[in-house]
Amino acid sequence: MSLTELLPIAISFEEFTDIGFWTSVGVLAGTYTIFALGLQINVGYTGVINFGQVGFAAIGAYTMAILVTDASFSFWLALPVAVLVTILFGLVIGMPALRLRADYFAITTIAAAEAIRFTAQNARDLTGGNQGLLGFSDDWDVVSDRIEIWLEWLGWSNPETLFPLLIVVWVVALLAAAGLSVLQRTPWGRVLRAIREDEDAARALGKNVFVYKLQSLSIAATLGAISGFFIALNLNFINPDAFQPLVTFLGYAVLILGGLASYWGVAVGAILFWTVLEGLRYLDLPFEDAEIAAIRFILVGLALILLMAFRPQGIFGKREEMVLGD
Amino acid sequence: MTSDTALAPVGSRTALQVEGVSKHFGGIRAVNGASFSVKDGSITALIGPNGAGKTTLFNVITGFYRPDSGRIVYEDDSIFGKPSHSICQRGMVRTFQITKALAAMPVMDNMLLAGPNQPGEKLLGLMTRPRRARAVERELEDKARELLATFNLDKKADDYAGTLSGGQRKLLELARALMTEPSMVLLDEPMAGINPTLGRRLLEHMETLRSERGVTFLFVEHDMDVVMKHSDEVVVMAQGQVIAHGRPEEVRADQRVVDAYLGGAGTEVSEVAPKPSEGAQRKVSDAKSVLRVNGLVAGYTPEVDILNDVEIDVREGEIVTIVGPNGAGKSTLMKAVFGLVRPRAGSIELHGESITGERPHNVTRKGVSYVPQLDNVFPSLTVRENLELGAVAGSSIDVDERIARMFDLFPRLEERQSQQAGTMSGGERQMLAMARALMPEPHVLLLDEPSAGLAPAFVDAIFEKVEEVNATGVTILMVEQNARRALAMSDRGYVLDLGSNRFEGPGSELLADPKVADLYLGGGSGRVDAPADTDTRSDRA
Repeated sequence: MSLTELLPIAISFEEFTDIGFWTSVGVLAGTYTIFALGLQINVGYTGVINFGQVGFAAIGAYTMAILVTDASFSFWLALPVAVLVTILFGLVIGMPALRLRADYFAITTIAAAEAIRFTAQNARDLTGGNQGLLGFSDDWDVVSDRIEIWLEWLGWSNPETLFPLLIVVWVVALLAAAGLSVLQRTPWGRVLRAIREDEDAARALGKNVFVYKLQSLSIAATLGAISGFFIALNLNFINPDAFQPLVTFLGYAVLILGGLASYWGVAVGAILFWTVLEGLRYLDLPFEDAEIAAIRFILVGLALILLMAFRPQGIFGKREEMVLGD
Repeated sequence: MTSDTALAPVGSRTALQVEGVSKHFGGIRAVNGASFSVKDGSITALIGPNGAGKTTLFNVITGFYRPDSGRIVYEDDSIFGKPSHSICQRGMVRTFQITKALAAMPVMDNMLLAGPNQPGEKLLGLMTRPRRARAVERELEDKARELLATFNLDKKADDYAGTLSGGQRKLLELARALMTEPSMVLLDEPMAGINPTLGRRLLEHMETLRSERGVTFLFVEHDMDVVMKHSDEVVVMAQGQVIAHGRPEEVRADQRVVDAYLGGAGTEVSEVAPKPSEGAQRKVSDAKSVLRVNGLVAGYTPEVDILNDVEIDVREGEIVTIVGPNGAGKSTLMKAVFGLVRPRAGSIELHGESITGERPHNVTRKGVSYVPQLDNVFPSLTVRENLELGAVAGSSIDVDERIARMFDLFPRLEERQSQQAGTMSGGERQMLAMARALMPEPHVLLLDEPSAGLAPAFVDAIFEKVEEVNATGVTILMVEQNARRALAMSDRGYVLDLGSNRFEGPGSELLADPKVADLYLGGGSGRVDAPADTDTRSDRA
């Protein structure tokens, strides 16, 4: 008698030894690490409540895809251009909206992100509408193949197709986390934290709060655009559905799990979050597949509520930074 | 300190010139054509009764509010309407009334943050001149340690600022302000809520900085002994305007200043019909006690008690007024009675039943209503909606009938019933706040400074309403800055100072007592000790 027959609820563990499972979880976790690092610098370190991070990912991904497919840019040139376009977009949103109170700014960002998605859905000539865009990844595929050959040379007879992407996404994610951690310890990072604590105090000490908030938003935009590239490469095509507001909120889940005010926590949070979320697919429950898909989100939500109640600082956040206040 | 003034480098040069500055909020003129100047290298105090516009003026000068009109010149440059960070970069730094220690940052980071022109604070500077950025950081660290040592905070350098006591936070805020290398420092109530030893240290630092570095100070302070003893010049504000400016002894002798603090000129008071004393006497002797406060101790920050053994007794149908200088603990007393501040010791009884430590919503249900000094209406709701909110859910009161009664009492509100409360003038709002508090048919109405910040015409109207409300059988306990006017209409009054009872008695008696007036402006016979130094504050700590 097997375990699954003894228990009404059980997990079939075979999947967890499958390299394919871990590769896809790893790519998602890496992508969301980059995505949520942008949220971390805004929310965790500047006190700027950004609910539109997915909008930056969409702008980055679409700009890159359009430049490659329509304007026949090389993929490698399209990447930095797309980042610049995303930053520009961030400034256009930030210039007027960062002067608003934090809650109004949050509403503005969520609206901006949705405006982008609806534009992508309806500007069919440019974006392909709901069909989306594909055929932008030829240059990447060449590199991916080369990494595969290298992996074979190392002795892995039939490597996972996504494994090269896994390597690259994590190299980028860890570099970004390391870079931001270093930056956060500089006087510049100190000003950001001061703004998060009390804008007026920072202002009274001669800091141009607005400029710092714009810089923080620009960095979030850059990270958003880069995560957008990985979303595009992971799917091999992009359509508006890939940039639902849900993506931003999954990013927040990663952020909360890892802990506010910790860049490394974001990486750990992303790995845990996606392992659990994807792992729950294999829950052996007496339900339909569609129901299980819903149940796993319910369980993740429940876990987050419990986390906020019992460990509000997340796994790596500093409790002092959550509880000390005036 | 007046003997030192000759030695101190008080220049004839003007550091700050404020001319005809105004700032309005909706219908309220917080600052209304204020003009004064501050001499280079001087310690100038800015004083005035609550609601005079001192903090607003601070905010206008330092760029936190945009002034409506006027001229502000700092060291020969106009800083009118300039953003706050650029004003700081010009060498004028400020502190806040409620300290803004960055609690979740270590003390050292608080200090380093304030360093001016740091290359490391610019992304470009970090990338192009990382070595220079690190060198500047090290210099700043040395300087910060030195400053922290002078404020006895050096051992706390690595602790989070949130773990400091209230007084230490004040010192940190001043030390942090000095990190900006200012030529002028504006302090908003630097001494409020800190113990005498720390307060004295802070004053010593101010004087050292002034004599050694020629730093100019402008500070708002409520402790008149400190003001009179430590400032070269005093600027007095009332009703949004500067009403007097001069040396401490000149200002203290100025009748206009006395009037500003006690409300109305002496002659005016006699015109105000005092409550018929027979009636008042009857109430005092016969009526039973409604609200009794015994040995009340309360405060906000740990270790600092604002109220210290306060005794109050309010009897059925009385108007009782609590007066006293700013910082005496009057508002805190009201909040403690209403349950907004938890008493640390003592008891509060309503009709002989203890309400000590009750939550505000329960206190309301027991028949006590409270009108706070500020933010006492819901600005985005209409007048009628405000009144509807005032009714207590689950009570037997017919809301529409009660609103009709309120409209009888305050006809102005009926005219404006569908107008948003935020668009009304200060006096109208105050009436609405009172009406809202009366909605649940309370036995006792607590009024915190009903006349503060109102135009003179409205002050009379509000006091008339208070009497009308009292005539309907509501017992009133009121805190008032306008002491003369309020005491004249009260059955009894209490004078609080530094959190304890000082005098009590029938309103008319207190009114005539010269000791009460002295209490407000310091240096008189009102205080137990001659105010030789800050030790007189010890009963607050």
